[in-house]
Amino acid sequence: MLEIECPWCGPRDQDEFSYGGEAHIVRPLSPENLNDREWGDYLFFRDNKKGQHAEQWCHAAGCRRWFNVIRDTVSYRIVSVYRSGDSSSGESP
Amino acid sequence: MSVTQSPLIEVLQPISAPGVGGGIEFQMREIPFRTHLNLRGDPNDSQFMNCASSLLGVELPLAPNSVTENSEWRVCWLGPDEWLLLGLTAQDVLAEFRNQFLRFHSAVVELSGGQTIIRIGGHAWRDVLASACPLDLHPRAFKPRQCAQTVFAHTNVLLISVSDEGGCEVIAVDLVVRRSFADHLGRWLIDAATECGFEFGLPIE
Repeated sequence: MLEIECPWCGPRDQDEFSYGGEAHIVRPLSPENLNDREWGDYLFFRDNKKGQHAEQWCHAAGCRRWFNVIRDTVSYRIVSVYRSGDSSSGESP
Repeated sequence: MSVTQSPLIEVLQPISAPGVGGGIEFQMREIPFRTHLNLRGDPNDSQFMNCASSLLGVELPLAPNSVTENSEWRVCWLGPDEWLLLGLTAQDVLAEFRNQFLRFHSAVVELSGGQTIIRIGGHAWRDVLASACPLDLHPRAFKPRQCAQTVFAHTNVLLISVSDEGGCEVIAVDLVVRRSFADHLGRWLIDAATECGFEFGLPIE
């Protein structure tokens, strides 16, 4: 079980959160110009990284906000937590 | 003709049972028929914040998981732009609030019929609550004038601390729960409190 630090509510149990998959996937600006392979890559294909992975979590049973987490997929250690729209170093882009 | 009916309607007389040690260390009662309103709006809009504080007579809390209150309203932080307004009586203020907040990018939703409050107290309240709640309930972490949305027995609940007269110590907790889960929650609390002894009192009018 993970203890995740919500950027608003502080450290809470994993039970209160829902997982939202890989973070920072940008929707193509002009989907009509993509071929099926490129569109499929955007929709379905993820990095499946070994090591530090940027992912989205929602504090579903708490403040219901989405935020980003950098988690090590080997050790499960959470390296950092930051609000949506911020960069992983904690500064606004 | 509609009839107002509490979600815990079965409790027509107090239920109690002594625990293993012979004492009763846990009390619970329902606080039905209060005004519950969900308010959303932009905390950076000072006109919206002023409008809210003049209607309620108390500021909207901006610190996460904090509560502000006066004699009529208890306002709980639910999110950076979301609050629960708990009226201490069943006030009919929705139309007026809607009218006032219409000027802003905001929303007021009536939840009074959709949720209820169960107040728990007694020496063992922390142990009973901790039986099925992952939140840190230590006095160092869960303090007076705090609230927290969490899960209890697989049910979403909002915990609001109730402090003693001096406001230094948390002596009880109000659980705000959706009405369809109130029965489940009541039964789970009774089961969890069997060991320490419990009293399930009549609703607080």
